[in-house]
Amino acid sequence: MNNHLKELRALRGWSQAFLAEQLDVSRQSVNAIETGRYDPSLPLAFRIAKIFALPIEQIFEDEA
Amino acid sequence: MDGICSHPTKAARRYVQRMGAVGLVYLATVWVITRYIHQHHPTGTKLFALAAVPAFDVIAMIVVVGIYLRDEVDEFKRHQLIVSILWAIGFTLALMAFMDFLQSYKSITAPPPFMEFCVFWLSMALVQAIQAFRSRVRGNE
Repeated sequence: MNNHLKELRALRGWSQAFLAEQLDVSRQSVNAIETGRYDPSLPLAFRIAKIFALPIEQIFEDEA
Repeated sequence: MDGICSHPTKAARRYVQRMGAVGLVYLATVWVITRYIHQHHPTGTKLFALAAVPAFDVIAMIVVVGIYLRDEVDEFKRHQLIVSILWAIGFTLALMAFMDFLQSYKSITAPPPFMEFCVFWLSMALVQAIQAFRSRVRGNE
C-alpha cells in the first residue's frame, strides 16, 4: 500500500515527532509507515485521516 | 535502539521491569535448585517437582510478553515484538532439530542444559537489535 503521509506532513510543516504524538504512537511507527515498511491497521489509518482532515483514500492508495 | 528498550512507551517500561524481575527469579531458581540437587541428590517425585519449578518462571516470562502485547498501544511496536518472537521460535526449533539429528546419530554429545532457553531469548534480542537498526530515525524530520 502506498501513502502520501510524508508529503502531507511536509505540507503542514509537521515533524514526525509531532505526528507521532498526535497519533499516540512512536516516531519509529510514523517513519515505518512513511517509508512503506509497515502498513497501519484500519483504526490507525482512520486516526491518521482524521488528523489530516482528509478522506482515507487521499492518504493511502492501493499499489495495484 | 528502537526496539522495546529504546524510546520506550509506558507499556515497554513496565515490560522491561517485569521481565527483569522474572529473569532474576528464574536465574535464582535455577541456581538454588541446581545446588540443592547437587547436595541432596533427590530422586523420584521430589526430583520431578524440583525440575518443574523453573518451568513456571518460563511461563511467567511468556505471560509478561503477553501483558506487554495487551498493553502496548503502539501497533508497530507490537508488530515488531511478534516478528522477533517468530524469528526466535523458528531459530530455536531449527537449531534443536539440527542438534537432535546429530545427537541421534551420536555425532555430538548432549547440548548444555538450558541451551534452548538461552538460544530463544538471545535470538529474540538479536532480531530486536536488527529491527532497531532498520527502523532507526535520525534528526528532527
